[in-house]
Amino acid sequence: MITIKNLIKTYRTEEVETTALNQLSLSVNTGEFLSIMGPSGCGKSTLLNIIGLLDSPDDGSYQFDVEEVASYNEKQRASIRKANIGFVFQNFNLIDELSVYENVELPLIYNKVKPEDRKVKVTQMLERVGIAHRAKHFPLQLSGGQQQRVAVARALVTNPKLVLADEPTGNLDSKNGNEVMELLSELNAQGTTIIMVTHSAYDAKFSTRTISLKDGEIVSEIKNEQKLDILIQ
Amino acid sequence: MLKIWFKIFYRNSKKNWLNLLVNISGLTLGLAGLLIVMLYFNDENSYNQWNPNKDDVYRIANESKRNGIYFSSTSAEAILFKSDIPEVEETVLISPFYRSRVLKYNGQNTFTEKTTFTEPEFFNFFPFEILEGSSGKFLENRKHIALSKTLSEEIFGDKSAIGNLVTIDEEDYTVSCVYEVPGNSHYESDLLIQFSEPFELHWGNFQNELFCKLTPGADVAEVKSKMNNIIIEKNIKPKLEGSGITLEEFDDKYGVIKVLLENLGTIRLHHKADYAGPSGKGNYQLLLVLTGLSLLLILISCVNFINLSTASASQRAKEVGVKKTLGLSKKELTIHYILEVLVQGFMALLFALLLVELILPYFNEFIGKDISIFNGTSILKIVGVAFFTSLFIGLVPAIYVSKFKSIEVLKGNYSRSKKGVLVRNAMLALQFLISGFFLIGVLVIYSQIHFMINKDLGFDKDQTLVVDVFNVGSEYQKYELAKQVLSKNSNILDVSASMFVPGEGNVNGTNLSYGDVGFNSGSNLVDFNYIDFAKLKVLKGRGFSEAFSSDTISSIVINETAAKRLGIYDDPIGKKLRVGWMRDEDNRPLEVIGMIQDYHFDGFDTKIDPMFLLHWNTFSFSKDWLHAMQFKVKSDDVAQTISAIEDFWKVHVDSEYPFSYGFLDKKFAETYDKYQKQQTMFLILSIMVIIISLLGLFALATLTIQQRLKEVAIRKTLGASAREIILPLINSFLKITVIASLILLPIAYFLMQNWLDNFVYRIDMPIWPYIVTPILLLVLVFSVVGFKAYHATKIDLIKYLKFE
Repeated sequence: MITIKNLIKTYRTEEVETTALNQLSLSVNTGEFLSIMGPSGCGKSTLLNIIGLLDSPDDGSYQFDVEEVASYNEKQRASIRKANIGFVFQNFNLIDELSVYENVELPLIYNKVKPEDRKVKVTQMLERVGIAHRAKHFPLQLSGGQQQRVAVARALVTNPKLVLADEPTGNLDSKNGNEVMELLSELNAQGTTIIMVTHSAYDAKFSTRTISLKDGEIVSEIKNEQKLDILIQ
Repeated sequence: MLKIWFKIFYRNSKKNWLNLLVNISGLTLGLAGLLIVMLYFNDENSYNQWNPNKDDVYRIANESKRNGIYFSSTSAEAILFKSDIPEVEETVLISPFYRSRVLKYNGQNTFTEKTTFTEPEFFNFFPFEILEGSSGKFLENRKHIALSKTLSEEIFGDKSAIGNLVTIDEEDYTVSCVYEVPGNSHYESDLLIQFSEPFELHWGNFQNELFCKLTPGADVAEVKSKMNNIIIEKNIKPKLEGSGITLEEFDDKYGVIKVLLENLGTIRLHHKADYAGPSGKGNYQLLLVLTGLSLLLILISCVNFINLSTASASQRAKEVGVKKTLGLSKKELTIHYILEVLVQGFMALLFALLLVELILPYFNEFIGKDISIFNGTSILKIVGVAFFTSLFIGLVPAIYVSKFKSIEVLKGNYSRSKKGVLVRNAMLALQFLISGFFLIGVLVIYSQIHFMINKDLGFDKDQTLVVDVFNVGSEYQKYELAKQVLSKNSNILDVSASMFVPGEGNVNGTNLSYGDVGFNSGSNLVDFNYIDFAKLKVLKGRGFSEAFSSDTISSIVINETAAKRLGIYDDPIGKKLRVGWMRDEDNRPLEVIGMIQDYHFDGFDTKIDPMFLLHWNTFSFSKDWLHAMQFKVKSDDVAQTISAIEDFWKVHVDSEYPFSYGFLDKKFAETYDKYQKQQTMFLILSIMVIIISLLGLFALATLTIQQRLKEVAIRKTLGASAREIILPLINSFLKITVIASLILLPIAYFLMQNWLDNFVYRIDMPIWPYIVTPILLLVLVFSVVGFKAYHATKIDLIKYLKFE
């Protein structure tokens, strides 16, 4: 699904030049659940932003679904993003002024889905993440775990090919964190491709593959076999 | 501590320079506006305040059912009030308008436009500062005159003026004193000439202003009733004797005159009669409106200030949180914040003073005054206003900010409170409301003035050159000569003359009666051709004509209003009338030969009064009342025509007085000058108000959109288009505008209806300003906020999704 070759991204300030991604190559298959780990500043967020088409690389190739997107401009990136990618953030990024239902409905509106279809999809999605009873509440009235579940629902409601999660449990306690991770695995089991940045080795075990980054390069890669065990527990 | 405080303030200001700019410029404009209005107010209030008699001197105005309020009085009142009322210490009659005179001394002519004729007691009422001679000397002889310092210096240079003989109107006068007017005064004359003889007791001529000096502490109401009593006992009752008419019937028919006492100290701004001396009257209502408007201006800038500070408070929440955890008390935080605001207030004050100093010369020219910034206590007051305004607008956000819970804030859980947003929106609505009101005001005022300027005045004022005839005596001869000679000039189409031209303001009032119906009426003395010359429309009968010898003896032309009031509108021709200038024994009746359509002979903003026209030769004295000679000139070579007239004038008519002329349309335009000035002032204030409001809106939009950038980023990540991002950002502002407009419309309608009611001839309330204004507001809001919102769509997504 994703093929990345020799990706380079550097940040410049007046004095220093930081290499965030250094000739990085990576491919992700459909249906995979990939974890990206590494210390602060290793380039994992940059990688995620580029994969999510929020940012563009300085050099290298990025194929998304056979399409070469590395040199796409903002508008082209936006149109692919809208149709194919869902985001889950560490700080949830829900809109405080909108209710749970409205937050989840938002991407459907932007994707020009008909109102009657929207209602069905949103309701289904809310039920799927187990938050339907809170549909009329506002984000600030919910616990962190609940907010993240809304964010996941919002990321998935358009049925994207790829979900990107940036430390989805970073702002949650372990109980709520677990709930969210279980939700993500479940979605992956149903066929959604997920790429997740995390600090937590525990969370990484929910995924099928973990890569570690350091100084903008991949330093190790592990296939996770215990995944099913955790689910069984 | 202060150093750190200042550092934070300075760096914050640098970061939020837009806020600072909006805050300070708004306050500056507000304070400058208020200061100017205060200076203006002060100046208007200062009239006669220097006069030690101001509390005891009253001007007598006369009010009657029929004629309204007259500012002038009769000699009978002057004489009887003094002799019969113990509380009246002294009375004086003074001519109400300045006259122009030439003084001849040593073969040299000096011209002054500010001559006042007075009874000898002038200085007992207006004790000007005497520089030379004495007011006692002035009293001694009716051939004694008094000069202002300026005029004395012009004639005598630095030599003493006292005792010198000067010639005025072929009579010799002795200079008895030189004075200086100490401050703004009811009279600011340059030359005082005494009436040649003491007044005889006469009830008919309301020609002069009458001042009464009361004993200190006298009961004004009681004096008033004594005066009214004298009028009834000595004037009306003797007339009624034997006529069988009761006082009540007389009152119904003619109206019994009642006096009004107008205090000298307050007459400038609070006059009941229409006229308040040759220095003019103050427009108290306008002053109040201006004060109100400048306060609104300050209010708007305060709203900006509070809105911006509370909206940007979240940006400073972290600073407050840190300060609090480091042990600063709520009180100290509040003080820090208020200090910041005071600094801004102080800066605004300095800018305001600078601004006022810069625009005062223009303002002075505009209102025809000489106001200085160092006039009275206004500066102190404005410092006070600046201080308390800053304190107030500092206190509100200071309390708001210092209430933040430090831990919450540091954790980043600070969120906008619903209540704060509501208050802010309400204040924004208030601003839109005020701006909208100004817009509507300007548009309605414009419509009314446009209507007035284009109104059919009933006479022709185009291409009419008016030359003032100053030199009194045998005017008609000069006029006839001029007419004879100048008519031959091919550039002069017609020549005529009259006592006054429309819009001059001095309508000579006298009694006009038919049988037992009588009232005060305007009058004009004219030449045969005047009615045609001025294109007045004769509705019935005919105008004056040389073909009828009776037209210089017993013919009178009246206007429609006079005919209606006399009850002869349907059949006026041939009716026999009497006018106040006739002596009682004069039995010659005046016969109505024509009725003319009403025309605006007294400015276009006053109701058309009854008036009559007589030929200038009808009375012996009226020959010398032809003050305005008029020439209809061709529109090309006007300058040459004027110089031809002037050359002739200097040689044959008047070599002493300056050749003074004007075009009738321009002269008449002076009657609506006042309204045009109001329009200009309103326009300037409106532009200021709208600019301040828009600046505030811009800054507020910047802030709120900045706070919503995270939301924008989220929406954008989810695939929103630019339109889908901009709309929600603008929406709330547009909603506020609509609500403000809905509240605005009835209020503005009511207030503007009130304003229009001030006009005798007014437009129907135009509807279009009420449609245009909300649309304009919406467009302005849309463009200002839209501009910011469009920029918001260009943000760097990653920055706002990562770091809040």
